[in-house]
Amino acid sequence: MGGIPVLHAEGDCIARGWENSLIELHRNGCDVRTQYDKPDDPPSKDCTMILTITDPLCEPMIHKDFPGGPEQLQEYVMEVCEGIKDHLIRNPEDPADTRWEYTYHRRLFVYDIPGLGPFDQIETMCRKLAEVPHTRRAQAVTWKVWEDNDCFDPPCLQSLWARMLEEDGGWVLSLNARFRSNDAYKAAFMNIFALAQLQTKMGERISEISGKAVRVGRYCHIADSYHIYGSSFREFEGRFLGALQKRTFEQRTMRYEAVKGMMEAARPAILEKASRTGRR
Amino acid sequence: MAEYQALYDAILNGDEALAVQITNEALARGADPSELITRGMIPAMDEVGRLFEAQEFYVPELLLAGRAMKASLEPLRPLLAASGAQPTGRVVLGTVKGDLHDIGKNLVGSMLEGAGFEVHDIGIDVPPAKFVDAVRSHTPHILALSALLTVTMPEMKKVIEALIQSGIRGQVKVLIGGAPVTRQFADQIGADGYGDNASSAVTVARSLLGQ
Repeated sequence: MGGIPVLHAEGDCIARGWENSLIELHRNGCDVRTQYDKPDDPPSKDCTMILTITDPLCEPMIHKDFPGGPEQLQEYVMEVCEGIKDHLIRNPEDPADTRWEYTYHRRLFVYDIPGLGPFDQIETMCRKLAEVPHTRRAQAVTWKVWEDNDCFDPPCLQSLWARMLEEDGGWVLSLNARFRSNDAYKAAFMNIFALAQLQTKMGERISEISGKAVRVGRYCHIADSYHIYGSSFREFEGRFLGALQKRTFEQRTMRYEAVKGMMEAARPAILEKASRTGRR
Repeated sequence: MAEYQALYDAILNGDEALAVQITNEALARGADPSELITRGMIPAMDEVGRLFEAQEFYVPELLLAGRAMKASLEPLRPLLAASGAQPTGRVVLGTVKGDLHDIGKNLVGSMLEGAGFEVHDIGIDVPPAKFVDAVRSHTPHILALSALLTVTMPEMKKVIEALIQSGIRGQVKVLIGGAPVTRQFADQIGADGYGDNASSAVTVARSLLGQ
């Protein structure tokens, strides 16, 4: 096969699935040099990844090798699912404004087109799925053709697609997320965790609309370029691969239920911080 | 002696509730607050830093240990203030203007506190004038600047220039760090120190103060 390899990984829970995807990428990914690697860095490892988490709510949900703590993970979930940082999006008319180009929440929940919208794509997905569970049209996109082809930092997540199937007398909600680009080591775990939380919230909303019980089904993470930067290699090989030899899976992971109280307790402080950050 | 080891273990394991309980029980038995810090807390955070630097600890473990240390320090603060005990040093810490990232900054803050520094975190997206104001009001030994973006790195130079223009550059050591930052860049802009991770930031901070 020529070109970028297409690799597959699977895990029962987020922590195991993500870990397996990194092992597979490191083992069978191709070497690519990018503008993000410093001159002395090795080339990045890259592949197209299709990662399936068979039960996103299965414990242990949290892998410890991510760049933050439980509170930062909670902050990111609130950023994606609740839009606590939507006000940090830059003014596109101001070249000196170095704030963010987008947030996933804004693109998914408040997708605005000049002269049209805004569109709450997640609510639309939930309504479609509640009405016609087997629909193939429940999707949300992030890309804005008129902005993202030329902007400095376009979104990595491109689309969400969801479908419901009836199993054992109940409804099961599956979610596919497609990224054009995904930093496998430094970002993917937090992305997957937050999107699995969004999948859970979507299930609850569909249940609310339809009056039927909805269970969270498998989550499929598709990344066109799933990569470990050359600049992360020393840390990846030392910390991530090293821990595979030195620590058990239980020692490399955390149960969400063990830190959920701490994460929820952090909400007021996170909201307060977000509200006073980046105002212009 | 056993309580120092128990406190050390609780912090190393990131067990906040246990660390606070051990501290409170030790104080109730008449333990010296300074001894709890120098024989329990600081050695624990030094070990956390060593394990992190050796890539045997994860970031969440470092943060949870810092959280446990901070919580167990709380009941000691009024006692330390009453006794006139001095911190290792005073640091003002912030992410430069135009940069909204704070995880790296928080890690550095946590590690510095763990090493006994008094840390004033003035947040993210901080303009040069606010850094100058913070140096004037907190009179820190060290001003620590963080940037995650290549486009915001030049703000670090602007902060140093603002310190010079305000006539207070000589009063404070400037320590910089962040993913795109290099030692060469630190030298170019006239910073006093560069840390390539949270743990090394502590080592550099100590050396800047001659410790």
